[in-house]
Amino acid sequence: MKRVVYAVLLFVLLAVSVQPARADWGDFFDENGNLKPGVVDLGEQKVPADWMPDVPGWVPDWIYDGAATYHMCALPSGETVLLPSATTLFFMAMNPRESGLVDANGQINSEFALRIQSAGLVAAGANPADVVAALLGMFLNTPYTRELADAAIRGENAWSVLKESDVQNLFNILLGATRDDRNLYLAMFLYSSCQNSPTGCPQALIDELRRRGQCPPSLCPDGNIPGRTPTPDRVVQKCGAPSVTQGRISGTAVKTAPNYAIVTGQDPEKRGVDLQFSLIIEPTIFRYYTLEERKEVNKRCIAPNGSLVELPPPLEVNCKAPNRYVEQEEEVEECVLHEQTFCEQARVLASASLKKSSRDWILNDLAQWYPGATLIRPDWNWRYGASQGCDASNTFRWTLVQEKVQIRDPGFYAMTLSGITSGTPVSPSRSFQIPAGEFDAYLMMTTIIK
Amino acid sequence: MEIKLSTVKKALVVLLVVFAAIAAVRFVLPMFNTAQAEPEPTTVPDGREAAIAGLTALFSVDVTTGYDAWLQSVCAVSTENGCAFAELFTNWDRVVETKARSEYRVQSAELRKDLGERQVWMVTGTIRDLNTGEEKGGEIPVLVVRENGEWKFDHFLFEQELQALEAEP
Repeated sequence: MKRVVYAVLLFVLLAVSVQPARADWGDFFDENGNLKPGVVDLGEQKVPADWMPDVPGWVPDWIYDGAATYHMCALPSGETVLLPSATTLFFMAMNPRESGLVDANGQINSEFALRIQSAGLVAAGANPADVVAALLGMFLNTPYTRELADAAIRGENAWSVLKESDVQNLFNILLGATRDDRNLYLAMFLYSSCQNSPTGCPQALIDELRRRGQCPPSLCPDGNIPGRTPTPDRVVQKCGAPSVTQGRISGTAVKTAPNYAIVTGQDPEKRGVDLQFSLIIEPTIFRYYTLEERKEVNKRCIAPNGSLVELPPPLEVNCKAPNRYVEQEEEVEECVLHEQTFCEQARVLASASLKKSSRDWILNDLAQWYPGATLIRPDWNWRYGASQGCDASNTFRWTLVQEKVQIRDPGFYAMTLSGITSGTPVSPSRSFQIPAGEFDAYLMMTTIIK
Repeated sequence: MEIKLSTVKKALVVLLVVFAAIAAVRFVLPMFNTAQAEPEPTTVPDGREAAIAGLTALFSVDVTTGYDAWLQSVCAVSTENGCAFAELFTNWDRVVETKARSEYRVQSAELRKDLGERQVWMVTGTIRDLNTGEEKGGEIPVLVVRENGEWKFDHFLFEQELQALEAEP
């Protein structure tokens, strides 16, 4: 009978231990909607997002940075709630697949539970089209939000379905939603771990959890780095402070073919120009010390009068009577340097822009020979179709090949790579703009040589 | 000398006098009565000017004059929606952080799509960083809207918006 009881008890314990930790909304908010004590409030977090709409690369980042904005809260166990800004939420609804709102199969993404406050919809298991339609309905006063939602879920450009009159007051509505505290957070997303969320696990969260001594192994694989034992202050004093070295961001852009590209109007075969852009972000390196105790065997040769006898090694062989060979085990502390590398990913925009000298030449010199000559398409931007990823050394590599680009304006083009990185658990996000190369496109002109 | 007129000629003269009298009442008298004069037709700025004015206000920023002055300058030439667009997307903390001072100049503007009460203009211009002298710029699509007969800046279009508009017949 005892064995049966033990077997049942063991089964119950095993069953409990394999249940994944799963937080609920009630773990974050009390009945009045206030954050519960113990929840880490991380404030506003901005993350680069491919699905946010594009603008030309030269538009200043203070007016539009292409980042998704969330208010973030997390539990010490890593479960995370994200509250997107009204603008971010609207663009998520317009790009439900790319933003992760629905997964590749068109189902509500199982990685998170979704709650839309003003629609009163808790959408885990809800019909994706209903959820997207409910979201769009908050911003657009259109009778066809379901049609719009279906198009968006199919991956079509949802702007094409919209009628101009429906968006003419859009930004006013979004601004109103942002200003009004009651509607500031229209939807909340619950993630089983910050690691699965679009924001990742910001450094501020890890710092806070370390400060509380609550950083779980999934977030702090080396324990509550930088110091486990003894205290961090002592480690810093003895070994030095931890340091973060952000990886270098470098980029190149080249014209791969043809040798002499001519503008579209004089290129009957539409050969165009082939361009290749590459970006590399070297790994971010986090270096920190731990003080580790090491046992050291201290070997000595002692003379009969108690003085130390200096002898060449091996001491245990060379130390002979009347001297006395002694081995003593001692504990010594030493600084051990640890290095962790992190991959820093980025949202990249490749651009080509006709140089000012060429613009001036077209508008002034060329316009004198050919009245009416003007700039047709001097600026180009590309974002999609790149191959990208982190390699084994945690280096981020991004490559984009654009073939047969139909250049309209002759002259010299400057190619740039710009964007914003995701940051890493130990470093913040950063923006970049790198001159990456240049290419030329020719205009064939007829000159009468007298 | 006596001028003798036939009956037909007399009738013509009477008609001429009547016509001259009507013309005098219709066109000459109003010149002496300014209170009832019809207003001269004024030139309504077209969408081009609105697009240029809006972009110039939006991209010309000076951290020293502050956010309110900048927003006021944008909203003065924008629709309510355009004013909201500027307020919604601008990160003034970034302006302060980078001590931004910039000037936007337009090189050309071309009508891309005429939708009646809305127009899309492709504006080519340059933003000059007044701190460093660095220039960057290019082409950007701009939506302008006619409100009460006056063209106003609405917002610069996102690439996806432009693609959707261009796909329209």
